[in-house]
Amino acid sequence: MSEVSAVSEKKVTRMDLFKAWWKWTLAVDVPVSFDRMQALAFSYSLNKILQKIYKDDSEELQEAMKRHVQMFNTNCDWGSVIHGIIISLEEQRAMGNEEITPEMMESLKIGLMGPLAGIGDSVDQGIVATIPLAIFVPMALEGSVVAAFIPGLIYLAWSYGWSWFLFNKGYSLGKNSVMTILQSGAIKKVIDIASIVGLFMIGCLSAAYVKFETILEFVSNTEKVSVQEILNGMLPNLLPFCLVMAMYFYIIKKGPKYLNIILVTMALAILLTFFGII
Amino acid sequence: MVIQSALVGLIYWIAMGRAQYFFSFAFRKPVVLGVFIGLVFGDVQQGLLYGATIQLIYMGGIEAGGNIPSDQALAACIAIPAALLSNLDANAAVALAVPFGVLGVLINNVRRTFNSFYNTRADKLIEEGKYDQLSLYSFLIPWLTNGVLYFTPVFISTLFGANVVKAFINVIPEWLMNGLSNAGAMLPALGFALTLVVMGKKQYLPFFVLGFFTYSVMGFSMLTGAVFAVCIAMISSLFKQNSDEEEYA
Repeated sequence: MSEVSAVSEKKVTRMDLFKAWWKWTLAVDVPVSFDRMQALAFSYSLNKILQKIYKDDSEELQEAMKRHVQMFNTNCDWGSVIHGIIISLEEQRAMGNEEITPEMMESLKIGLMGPLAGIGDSVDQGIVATIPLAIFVPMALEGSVVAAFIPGLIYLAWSYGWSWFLFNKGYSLGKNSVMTILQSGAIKKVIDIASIVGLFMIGCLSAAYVKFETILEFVSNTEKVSVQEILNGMLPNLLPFCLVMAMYFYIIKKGPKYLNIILVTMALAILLTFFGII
Repeated sequence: MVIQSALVGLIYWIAMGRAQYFFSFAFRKPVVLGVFIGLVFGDVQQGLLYGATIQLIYMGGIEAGGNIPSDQALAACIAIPAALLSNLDANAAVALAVPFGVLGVLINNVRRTFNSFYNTRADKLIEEGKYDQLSLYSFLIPWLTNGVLYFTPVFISTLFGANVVKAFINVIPEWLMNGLSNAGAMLPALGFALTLVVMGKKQYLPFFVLGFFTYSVMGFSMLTGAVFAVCIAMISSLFKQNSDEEEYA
């Protein structure tokens, strides 16, 4: 009788899961450091659950705490599935399933965090956060306060909903869940369509918001010729297009040196303005 | 003025302190901050105008892997109060925002370096078995100490900055002002380039080029653009499906 209650006392409840998920979304980017990134946020999320499931085994508890303050970095909502999986694995290990080794959990975390961050960052930030902004900021410019808030609300509804869904899926399906989710034909198709929509829209947005025009003119005896007009005749928005592409290939070749790019662009803009070219 | 400056400092802390990541991510957009800073100074409409104008240069403000290419919240929290107090025009507000957006990246790097201290602390607390304290050092304490880092510069700049900004705007030559403003018009390119990198599929680049020049020639609303985009995506996935089926057949 007492054994049964001891087991159920150690069981992870839905409330525990909710708290762990809430703590993850609360802390994720707060204790970020260069050497271990979101490690402490991960351990913060699992802390209470680990204390509960390993409460009879202080050595195992310490080991578990140690393995969850190691380097971790992923996308906040897509990465939630990892927490779900790790909680379900830790729970099984605490129940005495020897097959689940610390190495296995460690490699799962490391193996999943990268791909999930890649998909997550592009879908969340490239599409969910950016496209509504592009639609509503012009309205905000005309003075609509409501339009200023709509993009944020769309992003919030998506990210809270999706991350809670994935967190639960990770816990209930265990380690196979990500493979199931990532390899199912439907999600592949959705991501494919989303990528194309995203790229097309980024194209429209770049054309709309990157402003780079020359005011250079050739003056001959009889007429004035504007260089920008010649360029427009060739290909409209040619200069902004070259600018985006130049930055794109620089990042691809040289890595994410944003500060260099910003400083060079600022210097270039100031110089070109000084010489009356833009 | 002290209270207003403190409120703007607080707004910046909420935006970049990142407690409740999703919320702070939605909150830190200049167009949203403009409304709240406008509220602090009693002119929501003007704040919104500045915020939305600054938002245009951070349209593709993507943070791949948590690296911020520039800090749009700092740009907004320093430029908007100064612009409101000195009655600047929106372009001058943008020129002011650009350099502070760059400076904000530094704050983020200082924070990440400083936070390493809590990792060492965490290791020690685990050795000692103090797990509840570990919890404390994983969120609340870093959040509060980072708060000092975020609150102070904005508080000081709002308190003393408006006059400095006014003097500065009067002193700097017109070409520099226009140069910064032009830089502000060119810099959105970085956000978009970065989004292209993060989206990652090189073979999909033609869709970007198509979107770019379709818009350049036709200049439709973004909603129209989204309709085109969805149709093009569905059509191309149709082709893909067909060729997949042929492969199996």
